[in-house]
Amino acid sequence: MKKSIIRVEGLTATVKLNNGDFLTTVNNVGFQLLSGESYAIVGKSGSGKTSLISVLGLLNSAFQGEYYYEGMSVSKMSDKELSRLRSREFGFVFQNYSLIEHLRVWENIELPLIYAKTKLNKKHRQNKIIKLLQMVGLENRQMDFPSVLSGGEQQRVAIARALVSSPRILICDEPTGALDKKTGEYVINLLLDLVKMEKITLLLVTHDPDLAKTCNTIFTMDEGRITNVSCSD
Amino acid sequence: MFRVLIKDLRISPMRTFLTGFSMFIGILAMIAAVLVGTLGRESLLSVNAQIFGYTPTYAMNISQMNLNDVNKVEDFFEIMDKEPKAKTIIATPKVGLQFAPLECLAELKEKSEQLYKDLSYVETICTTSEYNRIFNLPIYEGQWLSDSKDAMALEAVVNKSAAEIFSTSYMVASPKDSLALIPLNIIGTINDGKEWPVIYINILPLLYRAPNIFEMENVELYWYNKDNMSQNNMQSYISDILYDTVGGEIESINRVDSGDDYSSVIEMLQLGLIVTATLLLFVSVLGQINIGLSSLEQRTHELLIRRALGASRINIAVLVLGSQFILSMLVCIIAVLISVILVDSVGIFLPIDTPISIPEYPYTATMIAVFVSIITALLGGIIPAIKAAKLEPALALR
Repeated sequence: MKKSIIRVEGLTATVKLNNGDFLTTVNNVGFQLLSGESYAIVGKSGSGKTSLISVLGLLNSAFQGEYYYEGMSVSKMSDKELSRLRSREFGFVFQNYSLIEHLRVWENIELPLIYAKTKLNKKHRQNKIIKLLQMVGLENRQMDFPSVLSGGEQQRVAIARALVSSPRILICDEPTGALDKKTGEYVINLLLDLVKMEKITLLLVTHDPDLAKTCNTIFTMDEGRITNVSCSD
Repeated sequence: MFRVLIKDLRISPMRTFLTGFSMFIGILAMIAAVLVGTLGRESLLSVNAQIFGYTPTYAMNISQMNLNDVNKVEDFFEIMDKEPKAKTIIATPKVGLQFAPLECLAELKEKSEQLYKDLSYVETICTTSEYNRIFNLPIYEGQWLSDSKDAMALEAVVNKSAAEIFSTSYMVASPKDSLALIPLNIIGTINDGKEWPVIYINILPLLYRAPNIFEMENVELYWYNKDNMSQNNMQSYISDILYDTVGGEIESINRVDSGDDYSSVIEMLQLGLIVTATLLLFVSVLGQINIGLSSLEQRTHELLIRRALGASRINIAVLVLGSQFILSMLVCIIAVLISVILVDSVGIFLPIDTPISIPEYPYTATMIAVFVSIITALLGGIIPAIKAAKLEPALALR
């Protein structure tokens, strides 16, 4: 039986609008995520998908309700504790790659290790980065800057960066949204293979129904609520 | 972390350069303000000491002094030579002295007729070797008067203007209406700040060896009173010496230097320069805050990514402030090194006979400038750092 890694109850998040009103982006959501499973979150634009993953990925601590990570309540954690947990347990792949332009490929990949304060020495770090670059097929591009890479290559670097600290949860926000179909397929297949190989819990936000079907569970969101939960075959 | 901070400085070399340069200007301005003040003070006091004597110098007019008795004169100078030092006399001969240049002592006999023709009046100061302890007289060439009483030490020193006339190794001195030609050895050239020719004659050998030729009419005693004795004590001290030796009455005692008159002016000048330098530093801080905030706007997305990847608020603040701190340290080291070279090279630009002494490196001012600069750099970085630390990582997904 798979272990629960995240459990949320009555999770609600709001954002303050310019006119002073509050908009509820996540409305009384409750579910649990199991270790090693893959989850897709689908829904139209503005349905609260990104808001939900920002809370689940510990990027937004301003929420009501209960959020337990491996049984620990995160609502009372300090910024330092949240940051440490985020760097060690979570990997992120963003829609727009979000690589740092002035850092080389290997330096971008190294970033989570710096903030996770892992005890890996320099040599082990280098080996790990090289191994990941081999896995994403970019072992010869480690000294390049992101600006000379194609979109697909940049997203592969982002995947390597997301996996470098051996996270237990990988959060991907429209990972193929900025890529053409062929490159998108290549990247998503690579991502799914790595997730399976590393036994990572995947939380994928997508508009693509076919892509969503590759995950074990699909959450459909509308107006901040989870309106449907379906399991793929 | 250090590597990350250094890398951070290399993101925008122009921004780093401009920030560093504004700090550099601030530090140098502070050091320069103190240095200019010190040099200005030194210059005014040195020129004052060149013409009127070091601060405080007193002059006593002495009448009825008997300089004809060699034994008493010897006693007088012996006591004058004791502590407290820096006392001398300037004696005015009864008759004016005329001088002519002399190439070598042999010319004294061979060309005596020509020498009489060449004689001309030149301002003469008959004094002792102590004179240059009271007046600031940088030596341009040779040496100052010795304190020897030996006849061989019939010596003179000329100022730069007189050196143009007396470019020879010797000169002859002749009292008015006298056929005597006394050879004097020209042993040095000094810068006494006077534009006209002046000859300084060592009075001691003359008084011992030719007292009848050089009769003195008026004697002034100069005293650089560095021990700050009261005027009454000074007067009483000299009166006792005179009474025990050559006799004479003190007619008047006056303070002759004007160093204190400049002090308030110099202090105001220095204060003005320091206020200017402080304002410059303040402008530098505003510039740094401005650069920091605009750089923050450029880097917001990067900092959000870092936050998402696990950087805490403190990590972000340290990143923004740390690079500023490292930059300020580097700039301080460079500024201090350059200022050391500049201060050291001041001496190169000063003429050899300048009355101004080479200024010492202003260590205290430098330490204050460096400290203030680092603090201002950190203050300049703190607002952008706080703003950066407040960035919500959730925005990384937007």
